[in-house]
Amino acid sequence: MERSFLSDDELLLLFRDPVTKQKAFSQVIDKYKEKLYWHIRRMVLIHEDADDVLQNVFIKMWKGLDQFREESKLYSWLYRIASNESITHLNRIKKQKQVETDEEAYSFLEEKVKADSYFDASKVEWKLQLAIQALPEQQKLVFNLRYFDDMPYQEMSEVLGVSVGALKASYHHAAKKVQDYLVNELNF
Amino acid sequence: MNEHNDILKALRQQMKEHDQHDGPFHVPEDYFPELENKILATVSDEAAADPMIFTNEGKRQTFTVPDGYFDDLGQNILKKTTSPASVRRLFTSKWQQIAAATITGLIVLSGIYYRESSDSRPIAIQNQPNSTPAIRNISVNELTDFVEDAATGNIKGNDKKIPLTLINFFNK
Repeated sequence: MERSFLSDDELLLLFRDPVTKQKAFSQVIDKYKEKLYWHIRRMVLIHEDADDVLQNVFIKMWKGLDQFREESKLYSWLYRIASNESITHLNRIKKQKQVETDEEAYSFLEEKVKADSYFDASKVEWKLQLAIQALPEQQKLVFNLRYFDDMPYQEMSEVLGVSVGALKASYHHAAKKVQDYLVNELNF
Repeated sequence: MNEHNDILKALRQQMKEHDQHDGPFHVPEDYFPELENKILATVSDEAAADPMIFTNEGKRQTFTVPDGYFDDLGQNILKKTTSPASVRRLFTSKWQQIAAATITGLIVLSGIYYRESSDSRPIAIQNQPNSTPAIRNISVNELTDFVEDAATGNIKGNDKKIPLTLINFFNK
């Protein structure tokens, strides 16, 4: 049975009251931890990295919720923090490993996928992951949010700050690249 | 969903059937139940170390200002905007003023000399007799004497050698 959660508006009201602040925070974590974890994990690939990034997202939320603007949804705001934190984390690691070109970036991410203890090159879902790593980061975000999370374009537009038209075009290009990669490189 | 191409649609269906709609990655057992406690512990530790850290009041108190700074700030700014502009004299002694006037005069004379020596008028006009004596015919000593006299307000208006325009310039 699916758990029921308070609405974002209700959670925000509770969060603003010092007496109920911690309880509201706890419920926000409970409501969004899995969705955000998978979003982050698909970007950073390694569980330990995803764990670090996810904790940072919630701590940032705790510190920044006083300044949170009401016109933005809590859900979009959390996804935005998660997306930015994931890309920042990846860029930091790439810099440490002196990854500069697109080819080097792909090799670096491909290695991470293959290093997963459950990796199985014969399984299509792993082939799909290898194909996704060939996408530029912004396209990867769009592809993941649409393909795995079924996020509507309007919400994606609030998360990524990009127009709906541009997101549709971006998803179309990403899906084409992934399919071509699966067919040409992985003999799917 | 029509936007996904055939391969991606088939993959999606397959992953759903295998309960892998989030992808092929695995999460350690009990990760999610423990996550909340880990985050709450981190937040509580930071908050306990500095109870003001997460409040707006706390953020403002990172830096301090001298006592009474904000009380006097308005008055201090107002004073600066209403005090009269002061005029500072560059040269205070009589000799400094004479020297400055001499140098200025020499610069003006050099300019006039240069203009006359590089006269761009047609040769025919340049060769016509001129009623004003050419400044190039005056010696440097005579010009220096004239400028010093001008600086002390002692110009001899009847000095025929000095062009009238120059005398008028110093008499202004």
